[in-house]
Amino acid sequence: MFNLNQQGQIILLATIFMTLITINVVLLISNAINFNNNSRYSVQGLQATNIAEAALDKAVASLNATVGSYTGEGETFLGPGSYEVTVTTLPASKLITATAYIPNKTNTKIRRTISIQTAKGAGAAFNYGIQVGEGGIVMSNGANVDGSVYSNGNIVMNGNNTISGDTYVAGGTQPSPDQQTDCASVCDFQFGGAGFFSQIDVAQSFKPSVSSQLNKVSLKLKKIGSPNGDLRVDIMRDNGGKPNTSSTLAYTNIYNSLVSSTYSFVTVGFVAPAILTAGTTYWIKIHPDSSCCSSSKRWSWALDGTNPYNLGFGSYNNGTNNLWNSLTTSDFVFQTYMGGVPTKIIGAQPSNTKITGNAYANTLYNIGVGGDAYFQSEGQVLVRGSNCSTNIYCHVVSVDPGPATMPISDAQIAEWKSQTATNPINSIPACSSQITLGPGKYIGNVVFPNNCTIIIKSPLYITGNLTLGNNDIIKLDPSYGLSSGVVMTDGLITINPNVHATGSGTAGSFLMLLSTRDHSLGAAITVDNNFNSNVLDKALLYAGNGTISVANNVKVNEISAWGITLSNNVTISYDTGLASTFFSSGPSGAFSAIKGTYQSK
Amino acid sequence: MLEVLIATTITGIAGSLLVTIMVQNSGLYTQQTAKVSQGISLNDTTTQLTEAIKSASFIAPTYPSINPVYTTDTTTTLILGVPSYDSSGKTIDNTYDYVIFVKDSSNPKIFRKRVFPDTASSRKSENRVLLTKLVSILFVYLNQADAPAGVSAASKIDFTLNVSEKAGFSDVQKSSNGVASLRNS
Repeated sequence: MFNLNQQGQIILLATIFMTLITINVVLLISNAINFNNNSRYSVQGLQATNIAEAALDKAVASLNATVGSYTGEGETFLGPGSYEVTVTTLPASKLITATAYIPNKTNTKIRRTISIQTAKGAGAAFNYGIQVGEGGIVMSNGANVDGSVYSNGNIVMNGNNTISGDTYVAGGTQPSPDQQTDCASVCDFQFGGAGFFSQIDVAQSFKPSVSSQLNKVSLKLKKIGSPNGDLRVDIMRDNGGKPNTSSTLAYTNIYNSLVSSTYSFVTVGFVAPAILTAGTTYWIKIHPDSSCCSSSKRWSWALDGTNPYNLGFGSYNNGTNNLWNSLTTSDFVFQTYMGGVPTKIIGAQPSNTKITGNAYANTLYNIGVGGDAYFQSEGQVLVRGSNCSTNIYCHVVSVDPGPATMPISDAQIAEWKSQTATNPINSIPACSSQITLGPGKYIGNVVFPNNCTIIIKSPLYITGNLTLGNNDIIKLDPSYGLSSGVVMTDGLITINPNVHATGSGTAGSFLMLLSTRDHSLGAAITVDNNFNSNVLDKALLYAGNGTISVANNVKVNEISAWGITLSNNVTISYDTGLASTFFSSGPSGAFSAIKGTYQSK
Repeated sequence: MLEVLIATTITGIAGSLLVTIMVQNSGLYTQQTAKVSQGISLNDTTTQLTEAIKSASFIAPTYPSINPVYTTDTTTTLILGVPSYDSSGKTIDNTYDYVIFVKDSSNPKIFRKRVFPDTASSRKSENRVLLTKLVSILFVYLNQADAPAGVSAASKIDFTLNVSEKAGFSDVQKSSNGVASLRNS
């Protein structure tokens, strides 16, 4: 039955082993293929997410470019995939939904959908977490800033200070205008097209008295109705009595929201200023958005027909560069401010006064820089641990950074104030636990007791001082939803310890505490310890003409002031990315994404 | 007799070779399978972390706020507050769900994702094991300038995951790193 002499056992044995090995190899290959597919899936998923986010960015830009008429687009190819966008109009916003496909919609392997809401409103553009005017920043011993800073004035670091981010100090601006004119009588020159077909671009020529960089200009403007878009301002050379439109030396934008319905000087700085030559003719040209205007909405630049300025004249065209019409006996109202005032970042010693990012200033002295340094002069500076004698991270530049424009104009504040005039508040109710206040105007000082919750209906204007007691909570009424609100004072805002200030509770809503008090009268806002310690607190502090004095452990989402003083051992941190914040009143701004509405599906 | 001896010797040599090949093959199989398994788990975990961070409005220091069970730190736990949404997918104002990535306290090799939705939210609760061979995790909280920051000031999170397991006679290790911004912050 069983033949011991049977041959082929080795083959049988080998076959069994080889079968097992083959199974192992097949499983290994199968696993490798599985891993390869999984990795490819992960990479393609990431690609799809990035394409969808790019599509969202493009959609927001398209909404602004088309003044809100963009409705989305069908399948559009981008990189390794494609996307499509839909825009849905909601009561107070627009919902943008972007879907990305890899490799395309027809043969989809990966799909990602991301949505976000956008809105438009007063659109104050907070481009920097901490923005400071000519008053600069004074950091007492041990004070730190957790984030980037843009200052039009000096930054003084007195010892044991760190700014954790890029730091800019603009070149100093002369205190008085180099060239200027104003309007004595009737002065209206409306432009923008639509009813004013030959008056689209407008320009004024001037001759600087000194050779220096042009840091900023002030233009007397107003809006009629609600024109769309911003105004672009170009500084151009002269070409035979008209602007040389192919030679822009510097440019900036006047945000729509900075211009009000009554004439006022709107001041804008040039972040990359032009160097002008004394006695040479240059032009300030304003170009509106192509769809800005209609018969009921347009711009106006004050024009004096009595020829008050004899070093230049006004001109306008119909949007075609070479067809300029000179107003040889009239001048648009303007002011030019030259630079040439050295500004600096000055520390105590490089080892304990540090900027971890890049540093940009006319003069750097006695500081340590973790990134690159850009300056015209320096002394006792260590950049990435070495002095600047042969350091590739030290850059000697010829032009200082230009001054940044404060995000809210005096004209806009005046307009907010005027809206409160029809709602006078005759008395402030006593606060035992909670009160509701506004909208309206209260004449006098307001002092809230400790442990009071104040619900704000915006805008609220207090002509005197505002004092918030210990542990007070001041917040925007929930009905404001996505919008932000503002509390304005002409006097000092005192924020005692442990105060919380926040928006409506909806993500993207903020409460702004704003003081118009001038720096010559003392501090405009004082902030004591532990302000906004709750992660959900959302507040903006604004004192465009005054100083904000900050105590320890303060968290803000944005702080803008003429000057900022940080006490001993203060650490100030802020949220960035408030490209635009929308207020419940005021003129329209640009479309921008609303924080808290990003959804990935 | 000589033939039997030769046959036995050949069989022995061939058998030894086959057994050696078998053992090595099994070792290779075990190691490669472990690597593949770790890679897939890390890919999935990285994707889960990135998407949750991008959707987050804030990093919560604790959850729940009263008598907290979880506390955000750098080596075991990340608590994210993400906007709640209703049945139509619309965000609910001022309402947040909490997504927690946590190293299991009873078995530190296990890395979990837990979702605690608000009562008004349509987001589903979740208790999902992402990794079973975790060695360490590290969360670094960064501000907008990419500098280390406190939890309340963070706008980005840099995370690193390390996994390791015994495969055959050696350890198989893998790590994954990523940075994501809080898009809803």
